[in-house]
Amino acid sequence: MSSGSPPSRRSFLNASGLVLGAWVGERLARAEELTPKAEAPRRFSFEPPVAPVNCAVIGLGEQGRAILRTLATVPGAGVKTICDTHKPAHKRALDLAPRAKATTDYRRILDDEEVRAVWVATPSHLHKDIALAALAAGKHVYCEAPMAHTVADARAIAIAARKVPDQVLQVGLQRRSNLLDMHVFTLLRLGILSRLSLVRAQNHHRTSWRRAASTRERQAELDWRLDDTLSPGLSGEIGIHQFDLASWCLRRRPLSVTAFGAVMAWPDGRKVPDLMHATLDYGNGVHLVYSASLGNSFGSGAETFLGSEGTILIQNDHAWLIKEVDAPAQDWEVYATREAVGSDVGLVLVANASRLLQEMRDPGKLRNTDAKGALYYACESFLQTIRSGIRPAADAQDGLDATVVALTVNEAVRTGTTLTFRKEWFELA
Amino acid sequence: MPSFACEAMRSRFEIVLADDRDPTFLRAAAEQALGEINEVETELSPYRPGSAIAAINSAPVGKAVRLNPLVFGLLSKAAELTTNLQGAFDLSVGAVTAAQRGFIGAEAITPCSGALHLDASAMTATRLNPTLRLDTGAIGKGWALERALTILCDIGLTNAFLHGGTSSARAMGPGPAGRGWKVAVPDLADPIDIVDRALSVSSSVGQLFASDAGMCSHIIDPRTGEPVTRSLTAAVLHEDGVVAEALSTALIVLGPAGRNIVRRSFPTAAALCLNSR
Repeated sequence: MSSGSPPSRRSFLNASGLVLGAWVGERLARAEELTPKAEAPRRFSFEPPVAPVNCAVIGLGEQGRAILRTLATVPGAGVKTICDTHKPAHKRALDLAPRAKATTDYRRILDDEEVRAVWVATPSHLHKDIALAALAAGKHVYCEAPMAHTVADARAIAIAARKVPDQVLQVGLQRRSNLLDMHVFTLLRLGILSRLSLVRAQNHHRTSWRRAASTRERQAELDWRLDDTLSPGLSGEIGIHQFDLASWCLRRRPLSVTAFGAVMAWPDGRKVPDLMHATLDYGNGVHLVYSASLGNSFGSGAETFLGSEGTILIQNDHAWLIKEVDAPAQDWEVYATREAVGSDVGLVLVANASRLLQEMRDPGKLRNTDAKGALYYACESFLQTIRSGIRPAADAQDGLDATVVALTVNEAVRTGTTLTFRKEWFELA
Repeated sequence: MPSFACEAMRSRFEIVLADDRDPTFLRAAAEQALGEINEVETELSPYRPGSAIAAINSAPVGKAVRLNPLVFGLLSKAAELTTNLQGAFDLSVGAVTAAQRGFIGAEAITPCSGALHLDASAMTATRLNPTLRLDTGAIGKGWALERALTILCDIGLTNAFLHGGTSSARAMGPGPAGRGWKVAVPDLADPIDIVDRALSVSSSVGQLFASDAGMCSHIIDPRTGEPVTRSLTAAVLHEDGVVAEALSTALIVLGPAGRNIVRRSFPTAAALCLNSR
């Protein structure tokens, strides 16, 4: 979210609801109430009808298939068409959307008046033409993040979206829709850590980032992330979601970034670094310290918010609050589940705890296992935005902001320098 | 031979490729296949947010849970296997296995066979009993290996061996020496050679849990909800890893007499029952 811009009505209401009863991994005083009741088995339950939206997914690689896998479970998402220029990719996609038609030409989707919503999940350097054409054809567009591999392309998409206010452009900054992240956002906003001083984040995996294919030509196409003329690098491909989470939670943009990167794990001729480290200065002494690696998986993905009264750690779809010993007690603490987090003790944070309580279920036991995953909530919120006309979870400005930050960090990694963000880079003029 | 590994489903999965192409290419291919194994874990783990099984297990009774077609297909296949194996294999043992691992209280356990309604037209699963919990642990590895194998095939690889932990393996092609992939099975005197088949080995003493009655097996008889008490190892070869895993689990439950059921209903399976030491 850009500095000074208000949260969307939807995200604020959702977040407020999450915090009501604010509770987080609580263990009930009367646990017997949570024991499953011996109710008579019912075969079906009433589910309010959801207006169906005909959808199409363009780009059927890893992310496109993840979207199809998700849309199969989202109420009201009817996947009518799938598209990829590589015809053999259709088969695996059709396994996930057996009722869809397949095409190699995205313009056929744009000509289909029945398709209202389009997911753009191609490599990022191909987003611009498709997104602009889709918006021009009157479609609602979900554009994966980063919006593009250049700031100019991202701005072009954002400006085009601003010109069609009756259409939705949602950018795939999916953590803004994720229940657990929204819960943490709300707790931070309520000042649970008091003065926030440092954010640490990492994304460590062991993978070469290469793709294999049955032909050399196809392999070259798939390896676009290793092409330094096209790739947004580690910061654009994976860091963008964590930079955006930090900016969203801090409610401001970074002022500058200092970074370095190197090819350490996979010296196979690539130029795109497989290791990066960056420090983003958010002003007033607050920094985000970030690292990403493709050679070492220690700690996997995690974000840590450190404040004067405690720390929040998010890792592997779970979150904990680790309080400083002299921090004031929260009302809900007596109910909270405590567990070891390294050498500290953390209170387990559970999104939707109030709803779970209403359903007579124990949030402390369920943790977040009944949550659906960030991509689900992002897709669901996109469809809800189309139906209701409210502001999307991540709009054109949010997408441009995140893309500018990620691409600038990538440039700092590439050059090993400090770069200062300019205000005009974020402007939609 | 290059080999590549990942951790999933509390096991180490490994892919061995008998192929003399560029090692960078082979690593990329194996990483894509291992990625598919991780994807299966995401879909099936009862403890991960976003998993289909977690969604079913946590849904209120009577509420239909939408599934992606792949998971729906797996659950449909499992239901068919339950019928063909006369209830000796059933995913509904999840409550017992969750209690064994301390995730739920023992008071919540009752056998719940038949308490899952699958609707093929809506692609949904509905719990009909509040104590029903699915556990796909018996077939999850086999499914993961089959899906990983498909990825390798699509890339053009033809000679590979994949395994998940020590219980499930999948062979493709003639192996490094052209006579199949050689595998040693516990309690079997000689290694066996596998070509284009899956091997599943189950043992009632493979994992043991403490109970009031002493140590008990992780394999549950779905018909009673009780751990199996006989000491047995079963090994099954089949062209489908999911079927091989269901059969080896069912043979532990049924005992040696189960071989007749396997022979009758699964003519392409080769099954061995061995007394454990």
